[in-house]
Amino acid sequence: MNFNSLSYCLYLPVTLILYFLLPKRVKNPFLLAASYFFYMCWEPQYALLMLTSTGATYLCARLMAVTFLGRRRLWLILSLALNLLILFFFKYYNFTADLTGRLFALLGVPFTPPLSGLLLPVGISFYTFQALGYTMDVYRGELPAERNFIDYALFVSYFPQLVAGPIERSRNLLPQLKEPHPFCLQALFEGFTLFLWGMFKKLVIADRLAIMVNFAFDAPPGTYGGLQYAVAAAAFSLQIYCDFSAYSDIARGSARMMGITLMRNFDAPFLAGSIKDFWRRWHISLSTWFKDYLYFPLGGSRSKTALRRYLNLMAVFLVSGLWHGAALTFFAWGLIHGLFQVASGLTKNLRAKALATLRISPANRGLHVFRVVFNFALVAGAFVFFRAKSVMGALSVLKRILLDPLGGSVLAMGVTGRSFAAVLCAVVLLFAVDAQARKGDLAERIAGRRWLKYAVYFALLVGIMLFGVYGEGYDPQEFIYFQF
Amino acid sequence: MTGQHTNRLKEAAAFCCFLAALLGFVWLASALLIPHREVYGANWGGYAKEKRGSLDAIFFGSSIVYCDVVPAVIYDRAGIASYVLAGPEQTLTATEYYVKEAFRTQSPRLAAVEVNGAFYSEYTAYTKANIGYMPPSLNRLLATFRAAEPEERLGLLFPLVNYHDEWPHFQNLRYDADNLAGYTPMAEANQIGGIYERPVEAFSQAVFDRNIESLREIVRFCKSRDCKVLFFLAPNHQPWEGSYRAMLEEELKTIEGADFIDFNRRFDEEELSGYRDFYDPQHLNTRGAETFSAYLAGIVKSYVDTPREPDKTLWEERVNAFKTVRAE
Repeated sequence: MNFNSLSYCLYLPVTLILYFLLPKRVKNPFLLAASYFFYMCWEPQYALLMLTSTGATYLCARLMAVTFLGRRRLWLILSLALNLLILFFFKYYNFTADLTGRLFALLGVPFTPPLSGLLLPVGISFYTFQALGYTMDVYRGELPAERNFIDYALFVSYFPQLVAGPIERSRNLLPQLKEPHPFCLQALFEGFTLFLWGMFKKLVIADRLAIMVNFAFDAPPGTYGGLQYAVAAAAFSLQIYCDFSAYSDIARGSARMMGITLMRNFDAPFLAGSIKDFWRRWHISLSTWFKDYLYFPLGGSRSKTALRRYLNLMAVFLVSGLWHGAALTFFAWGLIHGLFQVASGLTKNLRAKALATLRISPANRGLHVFRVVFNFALVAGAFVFFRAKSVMGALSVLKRILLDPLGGSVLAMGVTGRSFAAVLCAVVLLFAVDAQARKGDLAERIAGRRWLKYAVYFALLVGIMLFGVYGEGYDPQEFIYFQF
Repeated sequence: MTGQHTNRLKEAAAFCCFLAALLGFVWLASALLIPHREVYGANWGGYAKEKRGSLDAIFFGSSIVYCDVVPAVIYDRAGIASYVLAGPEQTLTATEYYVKEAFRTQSPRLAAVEVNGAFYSEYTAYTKANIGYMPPSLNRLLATFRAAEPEERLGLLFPLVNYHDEWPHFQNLRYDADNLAGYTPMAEANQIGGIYERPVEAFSQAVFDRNIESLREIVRFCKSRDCKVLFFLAPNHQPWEGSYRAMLEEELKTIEGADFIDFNRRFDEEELSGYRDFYDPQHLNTRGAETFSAYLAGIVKSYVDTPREPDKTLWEERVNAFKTVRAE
């Protein structure tokens, strides 16, 4: 059940009504059942996998609390091993087998490992990381092991963020699931604001940009001119941002309507002035997860040598790349971002000296604009690897952009001039909203003002109805992050 | 009144304003964005411009009707005001609702229904046009649920789903009276060889029974409105297979209160020629339509004993309009 489907638009209000009508003691069992139903709308049998992961992490965490049954570390390792093994088998086995086959072929050994025909379970990376985060929190003593299995299972499978995040922390979500959540009109309006804004970003911006992106990237590499590829790369960066942040907004909006606050996943990432800043604003729930559960345990920025620090950074970004998908393109994407970070660290003093020599203040507005644009270009360039079908394909696209920067016409990319103008206007609106959202919870501010709220709802609904990509003649695009 | 009550009232008022504005927008946008339709059937906009209660005969069915029947010629020959209210590849279930909807503004003496659709599949490719141009009414709603495939229903209930992408081309809201009264001219003459029978692909008894039931319902409905019913098969170089036509004829015989004419048996009387009168094997060109309509006029006259006084100016204009089309 996609968020941008009619079935979700029916499912959500029905679930909300029943949730508020039911007595408190059955609210969570009901939400758990609703969440499993939501998940089973994709592949019913994979709900068993989620249940296995939930049961294993629940049990291991409980056993960590009962010290006489063994050492805490043992249960931690068991929980990590089991979950990562499941993740590996369903997500990385074919990739590893393919690489192994190629390696043997290079060595001249006739061995091809068998491939698995299993489908990738939707959202497996998200719920596995959420459950693992909980196990590590319990291991570190930051949180007592949850006794109530229903509450814990709901924490893992809570439908708004189950399939594509935000990857919630147990410290944030579990206590909220235990609290009573009576009906609150203000929360409903706040949630609806987020929900509508998410729908607008998905249907008006992301899916319209997808037409241009698919046009350029689905053709054999080198088919189009450099300008067309540059526009497609920029369009894909905006598409994936709008697509993913739309999912997060709809998830946060759906949860907010129930009185539950999920963490913010994006903070105007394309207004960032550096790659480091970009990663503080992009997919926050994943980047902070890696920071808390991988970067810091590796030593983080407190490592004694710069080399070790940079190795830690590279490790985190390579794993982050592979987390997105089992392909060399994602590995390359992670690698590039790791290298960006290392280069940024290595040139930090040099850049400061250059600014001082040129007598440009670091707070200079023009400099900030230049940084934002330059940073966007770097991020968009790296996203070429994320979107391309192969590393060679991505390199061919980048080569074309560099060697033939004015090649091709933007209007020969599957969209009309008016459609292109419409999406440009929507992107300007997106940046304006992002800038406003940095000043505080925008949904709360809008929902708190009666006429403004309805004016915003009206404008968004009209925008979606007129300019949204839906109905006959369109290929409905799934949320990109579903595949992870 | 407490502050809380006042607050709630204001909230309710604001919500009602929002809802009204939204509904108003949806209505206006749907009307502005749906493409204008004046030819190839489903021309409800033009039909709505006909003076209430001014028509004596209405022709229903599929594209065969709007290509073959020229109301201007019928008027010229018989002095009877008629109209073609058909749709492309229209199923008989949809036709049932066309008949019922047509009677909301007219009270014809004759409803002539072309029945080639008896062997169409349950849904055809033009549901969106056939139902989507009907005026908002209970008949349209029933047609949406009974005659449209499930995946088309949302777009028929909310036309913006189908037409929202037409925003760069706003349409004229106004329709004028159709100067050909629902007829769509096909000028080209293509030489059609001999008559050969069209096979009924994937015949479904259930769909056929449903179609017959729609025809029965049309008769029941028309009877209640004191209107005669004529079922007919238009002249065609690709008639359905003989055994199926015989089966249809047998079924139609069981429907009391309606006549049936297979015009394929009267090719000679109609003076139609496969060399000059057909646009394609199933549709007549303007010349063929003129010839057939002149023949049809005599039959229509036998059903409409005392025709109403038609608007002579309008119908003379229509006769001239057809003559112009015919001359092109």
